[in-house]
Amino acid sequence: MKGAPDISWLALASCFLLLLIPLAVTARLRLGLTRDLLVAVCRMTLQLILAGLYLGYLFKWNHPGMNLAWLAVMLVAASGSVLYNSALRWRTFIVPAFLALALATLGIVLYLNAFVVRLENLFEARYLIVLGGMLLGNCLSANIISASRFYQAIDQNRSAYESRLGNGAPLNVALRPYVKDSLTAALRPGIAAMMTMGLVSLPGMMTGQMLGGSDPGVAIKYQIAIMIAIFTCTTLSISLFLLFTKRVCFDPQGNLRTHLVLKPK
Amino acid sequence: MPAPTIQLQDTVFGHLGTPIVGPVNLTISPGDKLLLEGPSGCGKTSLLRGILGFLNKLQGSYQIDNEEISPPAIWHLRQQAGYISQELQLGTGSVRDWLKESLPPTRELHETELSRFQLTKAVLEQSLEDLSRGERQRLALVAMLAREPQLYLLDEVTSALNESLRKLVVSHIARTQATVLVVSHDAIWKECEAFRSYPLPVTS
Repeated sequence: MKGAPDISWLALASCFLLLLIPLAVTARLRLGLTRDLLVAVCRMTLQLILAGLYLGYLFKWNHPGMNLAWLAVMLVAASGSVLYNSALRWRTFIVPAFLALALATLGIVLYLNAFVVRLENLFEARYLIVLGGMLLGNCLSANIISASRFYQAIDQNRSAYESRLGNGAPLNVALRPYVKDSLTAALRPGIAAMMTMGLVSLPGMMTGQMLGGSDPGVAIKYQIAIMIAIFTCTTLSISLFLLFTKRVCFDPQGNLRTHLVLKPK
Repeated sequence: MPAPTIQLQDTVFGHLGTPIVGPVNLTISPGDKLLLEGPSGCGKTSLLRGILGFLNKLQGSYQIDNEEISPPAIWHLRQQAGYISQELQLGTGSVRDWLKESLPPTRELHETELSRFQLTKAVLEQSLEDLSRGERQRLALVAMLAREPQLYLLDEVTSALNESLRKLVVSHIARTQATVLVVSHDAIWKECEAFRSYPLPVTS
């Protein structure tokens, strides 16, 4: 299989010329985004150069322990940064977020490696880190969105929630409408994406594989597998996340511990 | 199972260490009908929420059937209770689904139970958001009564009803065997002989 032709650094630099168009538009319309755009482009370039370097080393080294450790670093960085920008309290949620994502991501990647790609070394860097990263990236925001939505809905509809409890509903029954609502909101985009896949857009992984020289017939198989894996991982990680946080976020009488759950407004 | 006896002695309820209502001294025996009175903001609603365990006991004693309150006792009390809050948020979705979740699994509403408070079966096909406040109050009452709780905690449940419906609701509740705690600014409750008043002390 022939890989994609290399791009010289000079040729890549020419790609940056394209940025003159968005820069011109932002400057002309005074969108106030010029500085952010330049910082973002610089960060993206630097971060990806670094990613290229360390992935090169990880692939070459290919040590199962090191690969798992790298996945753990990605998990911590990802859960921390997304929690930081959400309505949820970092301290309460970082450990459950990490555990839920780690269990779901690792479980699904190992399943893919064992039964779908059928690797001999289940911890092979090329698959563990790349597939794990892809699952993580796709599950993470859905996870945080659904957890924020779940706890905010209970906080904002406290009276409805208390009415259910006050009329004898056990905790799980009283929480049911909020669980349903938050899971539906988190899973709907995934369902919509599968509905239009291949019609409206060609997904990134498949495009990447084809640019890398893969046969479209092989690329679509990987894409189908990854779409199913992402959807399953999202469902699993959200369910685990809510399960792990429930014990901490509600007192023994079923009251939401708002001060531990939500950041002060 | 008879209604529980609730004893509050110098009880202060609050949240995160901040007192919200009390100290309250009150004994509620099975079958008592009590109208909680006091100026707005004195903690009438909070007292109902405290009894149901939505606020924490900060001081004093709160006993149910001579046992000091505990989380399992609170869950047990809620199973015996029927609670209608003044915000009257019933949630979203269809009335039929809401009733399915609010009533015991095999229990269905009969036409007479709905017509008692001037509702018809057509209301079952509506969505909760489309109901007027008065319809929601009556629906919440019908659902609560169908559960046959032994302890009613009712917060401004007649505020959106017309006079004849208010009379109907009050006389129906006055005749039940259940223990009833009512918070209402509506004079119709005070006029009802079945109810005794409990003036709530103003928290300093």
